[in-house]
Amino acid sequence: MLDHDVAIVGGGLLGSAFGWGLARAGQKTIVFDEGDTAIRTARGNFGLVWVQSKGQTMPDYAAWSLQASQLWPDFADELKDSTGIDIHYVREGYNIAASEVELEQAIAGQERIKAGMGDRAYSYEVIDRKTLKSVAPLVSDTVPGAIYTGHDGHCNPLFLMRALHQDMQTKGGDYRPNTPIDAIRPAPGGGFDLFSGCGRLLASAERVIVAAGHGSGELVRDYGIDLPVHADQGQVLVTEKVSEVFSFATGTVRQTDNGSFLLGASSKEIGLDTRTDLPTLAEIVRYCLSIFPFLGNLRLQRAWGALRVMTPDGCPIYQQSDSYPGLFSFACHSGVTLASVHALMVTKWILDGQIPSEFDVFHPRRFHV
Amino acid sequence: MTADVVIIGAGPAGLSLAIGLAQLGVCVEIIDEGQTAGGQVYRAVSRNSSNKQLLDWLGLDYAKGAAVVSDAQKLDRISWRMATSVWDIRCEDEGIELGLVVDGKVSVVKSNHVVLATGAMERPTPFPGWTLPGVVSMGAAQTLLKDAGLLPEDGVVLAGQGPLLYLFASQILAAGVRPKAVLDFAPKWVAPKNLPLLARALISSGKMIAKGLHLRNQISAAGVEHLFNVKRIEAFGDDSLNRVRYLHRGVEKEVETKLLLVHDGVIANTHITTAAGCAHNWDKQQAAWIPRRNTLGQTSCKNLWMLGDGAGIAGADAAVLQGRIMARAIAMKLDLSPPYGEHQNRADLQALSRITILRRFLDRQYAPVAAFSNPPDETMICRCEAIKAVEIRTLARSGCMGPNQLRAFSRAGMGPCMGRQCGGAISRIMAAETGQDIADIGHFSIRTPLKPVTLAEVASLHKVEP
Amino acid sequence: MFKRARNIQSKVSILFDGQPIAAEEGETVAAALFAAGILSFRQAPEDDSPRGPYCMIGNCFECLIEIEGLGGRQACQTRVRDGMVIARHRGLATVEAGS
Repeated sequence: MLDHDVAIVGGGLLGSAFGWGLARAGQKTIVFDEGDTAIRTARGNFGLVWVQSKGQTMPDYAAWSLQASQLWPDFADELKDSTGIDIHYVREGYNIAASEVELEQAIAGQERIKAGMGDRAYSYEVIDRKTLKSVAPLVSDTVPGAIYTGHDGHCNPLFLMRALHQDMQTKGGDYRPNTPIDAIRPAPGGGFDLFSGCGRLLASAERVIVAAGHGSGELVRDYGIDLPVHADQGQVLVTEKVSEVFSFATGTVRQTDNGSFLLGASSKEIGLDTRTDLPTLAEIVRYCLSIFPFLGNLRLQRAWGALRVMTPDGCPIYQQSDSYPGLFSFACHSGVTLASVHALMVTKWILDGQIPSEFDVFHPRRFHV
Repeated sequence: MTADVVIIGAGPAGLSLAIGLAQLGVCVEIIDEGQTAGGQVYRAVSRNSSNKQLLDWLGLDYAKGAAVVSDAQKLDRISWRMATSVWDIRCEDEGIELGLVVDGKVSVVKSNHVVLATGAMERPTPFPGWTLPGVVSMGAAQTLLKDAGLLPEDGVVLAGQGPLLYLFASQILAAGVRPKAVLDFAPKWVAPKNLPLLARALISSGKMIAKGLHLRNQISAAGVEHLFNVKRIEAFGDDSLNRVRYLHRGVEKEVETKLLLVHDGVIANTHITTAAGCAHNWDKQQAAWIPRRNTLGQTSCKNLWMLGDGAGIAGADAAVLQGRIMARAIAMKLDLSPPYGEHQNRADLQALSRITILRRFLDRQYAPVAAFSNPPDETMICRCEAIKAVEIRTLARSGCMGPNQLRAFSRAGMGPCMGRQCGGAISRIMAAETGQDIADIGHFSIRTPLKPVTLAEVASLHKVEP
Repeated sequence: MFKRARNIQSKVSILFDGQPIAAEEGETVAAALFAAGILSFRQAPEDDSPRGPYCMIGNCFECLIEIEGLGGRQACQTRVRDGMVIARHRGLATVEAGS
C-alpha cells in the first residue's frame, strides 16, 4: 500500500524546494527531516543567487544556473504571494576584484563560460573602477574593477527555506522533523518503503528523492548508487546591522535586507567540522576590508562554519537509479541559486519519472570516464 | 603564556581557585572583564572598602569579599588580565585557544588547562512591557549601587521573587529608599509539599534561613506594601515606564512608578560553555541548562574545567569552597602533592553539601515565575530582533523542530545579545507549545564572538599563526 | 529613576546629545546617564520602541549607544572619560568611508 506519491529524504534547501514544487503540483508529498542539531548546510548559506562563477568547466551547469536566475524573480514573487514572506531577492551583483590579477582571472573565467556556452546567449561586462564607484562609493581605491552579468543577485536564504517549508505544508505537503530515515527498500508491488533506525515503516511512496546532503551517500550506497560528495567548509561572518549602504551583492560581501553585512567565505576540507578558527576568520576579513575598508568599524555579530555539499567537480549531481527506477538522488552546493529550477523544473522530472536526456551530463558516471 | 592554569572570571569561585592553586605552587593567570576583581557578587569591593556607608548598606556578605580579593592580590603566583574579554574559545586536544580583547586590541592565548569561573546571570523575565526604559533587572540595580553608588529613587517598585529580591530590598531600605511596593510572586508560606525540604535545610543551614526571613521581614517592618502571590505584571509607558499593572488575589491593580526592578532568580550563564562545545544537561531543579561535569569539575571538553555558579547556582560561599576543592584536584592532575590533609578536603565537601541542601529548598520555594516562563502572545521574547511570543508559538506549531531552526526562520536570537535573553524562553515556549520536554527541545548553539569585537580587530589577527 | 548616594567625588563632564552631563570618573556611561535621569538610550530599529539598559553586566545589549562617533557600543561596559561625546541611537547606525 503506497501512502504517498513522493517521499523526500532531507528538509534542507533541496528537499524543501522539491517538496514545495511537488505539493504545488498536487502530489501527495512527505518530507523527512532530521533534528535541530543535525548537520544543516542550509542554515549556513551565504544567500547568493549567483551565475558568473558557476560552470566555468561545465557549460551545462553555467546554462542551468543562468536558467535558475531567470526563473528566480517569478519564483520569489510566487513565494511572497502565497506566504507573505518576502525573501528579499535582489537581482544585482558584482564580482569585485581586489587586484588587477584577480580581474584578469575573472575575465578569463567569463570568457571560458562564454566559449563553453556556444550558441546559448551569455554576456558580461567589465566595470571599471570609476563606474563601480558610482554604484559603490565606499569601495576601496585599490579595487581595479568588477564583472557584471545582470544575472547575479542575492536573497535571504533562511526566509527562503522558511517560505518553502510553510507553503509546502499549506499546499498539503507533510513535513516530519526529527525523523531520520535509516533505510529505503523497494516495496513489494512497486514503490519504496522508508524505515526509521529501529526498523519502523514510516512511509511508502511511489517515488523517493534522496536529498540529505552529507547524509545522502550512505543512504543510497546499498543500491549501488554512487553519490560522491564531501564537505567543503566555508566560514562566514555577519556584522551588526547598519543603515543601507548598498543593495547589491558581491561574491564575498553582501549587505542583507536587515542591514548586516555577510562576509565570506573560506574553503577547507576538514570533515564535518562547523567550528570557526581565528586565522581563517582574520583572512576572510582582511580580504573583504581590502575591498570595503569601511567594514572595519563594524562589530562582528556572529561567525560560523558552513559545510558545502561538494561534488568532485563542484557541479550538481542529478540521477535516477538504473536498478530501482523511481529512486532519485540529488546533491549540490548551490541550493539557493538552483532553488527555482529545483522547485519548478526538477519536480517535473519526478512527475515524468525520468530525467531528460540533456541533463545526463549531471549523472555521476561523469566521474568515471 | 607562562601560567599553568588560566582562570576566566575573578569572582568568588575564580579567586578561591586561584588562591588555592597559588598556595600549592601553581602559576595562575586570571582573566576578567571587570576593572577590578570580585565578579558580580563582590563587584568593586576593594574600591568601596573605604566607603563605610555603602558597606553598611550592602552588608557583611558583600564586605567580606574584600578579604578574598586582597588575599588573591598578595600572591605573586597569580597574574591578572583585567578589563579583558574572552570573545573566542576553541578547544582542541592539544590545548585551549582563547581570543581576548582589551581596549580594542585583540590577542590569542593558548593554555593546557582553562577553568571557567564565569558565573551566573539573572533569569530573564519576559512580560508585556518589559522592554520599556525604566524596567530594569534587580541585579542591574544592585550592580549600579556597588559599581557607581546609585540608589533607586523613592517610589521604585520591586517585582518578582527570590533571595536577591529580599537582599536588595533590605539594602536599599537601609539606605533610606522608600519603595512604593514589593510585588512578590512567591507565596508567603512554604507549601506543604516543600516542608520536608525546608526541614532538611533548617537542620543544615538554619542560620541562613533565619537571615533570609529577617531580610524579608524588613520590607513590611519599614511600612512598605509587600504583596505575596502576585500572579502577573505588565508595564506601561510611552518613552519610558510610568505605571505597572499587576494581578493580586484575582484583582487587577495599577501602581504608578518610573522605575520597576524585576527579578526571577539566577541561572548559570552557559554562553561560553555552549560556544566551547561542552555538553549540557537540563537541570530540572534549577530549571536551567548546566554544563555536564565529572566529579572533579571537568567539562566534556578536554582540559576545560568549570566551577562556581556557571556550573549550577550555589552562591558565593559554595563557590569559595568549590575553588578550594578544585585547586586540590587540579594540583593532583599537575602531579603536585596537596599540602592540605584529606580531612581539610572532607570538611570543605561537607560544608558544600550543607549549602546544597539549602539550595534544594530555595530552588523549589522560588521555582521560576509561571507568568514569565510562558508569557502572553504579545510579550517581546527576543528583545534584540523584536520577536514576540506569538511568533515563537506559531513556528513551534508549524514543525520547527528546535530552537536553532526557529532562530533561522524568525531571527529570534540572532541579535547582539546572541540569545542570552531569549534562548531560555524560546526553549520553554516551544516545549509548552509542543508538549515536549525541554531537554528534548534543546537550546541555541552559540558562536563566536562571545563579546563584541570589530572586524578591524579580527583582521588584525591575520598574521597570527594558529 | 536613580539618584547618587553621595555627591560626585572626582568630576568629569560628558556630552549626551550635545548636553553636558556631570559624571563620576571611572563610572560606566550607563551609570552616568541613569544618574542624570536618562533612561532611554536608543530607538530600536526593529520596532521603533525606546530602549535602555536592562542587565548592566554586558549580557542584554539593550544599552547600545553611540560613543565617540561609533554606533552600537555597550554603555554598561564603557567607562566615562572627560569630554566623551555620546549620542542616542535613532534607528540603524550609519557608516562612513574609511576605518
